[in-house]
Amino acid sequence: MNQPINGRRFEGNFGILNQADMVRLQSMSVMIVGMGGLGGHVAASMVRLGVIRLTLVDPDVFDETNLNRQLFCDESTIGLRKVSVASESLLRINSNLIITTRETTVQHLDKADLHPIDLIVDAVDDIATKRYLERLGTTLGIPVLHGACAGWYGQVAWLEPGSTLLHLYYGDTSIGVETSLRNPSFTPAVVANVMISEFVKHLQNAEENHHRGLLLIDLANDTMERILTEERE
Amino acid sequence: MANVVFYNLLRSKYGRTSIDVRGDSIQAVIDAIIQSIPEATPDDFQRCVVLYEDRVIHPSRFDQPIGPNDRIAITHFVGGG
Repeated sequence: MNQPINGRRFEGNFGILNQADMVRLQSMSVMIVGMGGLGGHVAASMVRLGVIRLTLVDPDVFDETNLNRQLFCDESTIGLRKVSVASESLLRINSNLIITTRETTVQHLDKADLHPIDLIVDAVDDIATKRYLERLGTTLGIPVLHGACAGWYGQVAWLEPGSTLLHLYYGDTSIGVETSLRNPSFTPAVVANVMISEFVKHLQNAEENHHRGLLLIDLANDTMERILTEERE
Repeated sequence: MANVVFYNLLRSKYGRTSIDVRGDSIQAVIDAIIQSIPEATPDDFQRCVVLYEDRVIHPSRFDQPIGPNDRIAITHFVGGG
């Protein structure tokens, strides 16, 4: 059920979004894969922005190590399914959401879960799954919003169907510097909301070629820079 | 001299954004960086990604030749969520 776009709920959006943008947001279906540090913040920001239809995918339960950074983790939710907790929290932001939860890995989803999806959000913490999601976007003919973080650093990319950016970037690597730098409280929140900013830019320029490379976020040195801006094999 | 731009981890560790060093391959450039920057160690280049002419070069191809005035960039794999 769409909500009145002109109601007060979304009036803060109208400084940068217009009526057509809001209609597009409310008509799209977004699958967020990973409901941890990035995924929780992405989901909350998408809902506050105006996205109504969400599929949340994560096989895990919250544990104590999630307390430092995962938006929906608190002492009362430890041991509970991440997707269930997230769904309940998001419905408290907007009771009209249409949320599907899947307590599994994206590789084990039924085909029926993948239709109709208009956008995949890569918020997982596993490089092999990130590569899988890039391929899944191509298979389904839909874009993937990629994010990753570690320590002071993060990266964001909008991957159109056919993209090989993550395949080229990660190669056959299975782990990154997150194994040593870990993730503090603030970096996932920043990176997740840069993902949302990238999402809005593409929402507003849907007809343009979206290849803008990989946006590197460096909070230690106060920089954001794009690399791999030319699409190459 | 090759111009090397550091992103993220190395920028923080070395306290600089770039360096000019001699080297006719990516590995030679990395060796020169280790010689030139006191804080640099071979471990810094584990899990690193080299960008050369906006292409990704992984460690298995660090013997890739480069020209005397080429620009390369070095960053690290980030995969957390």
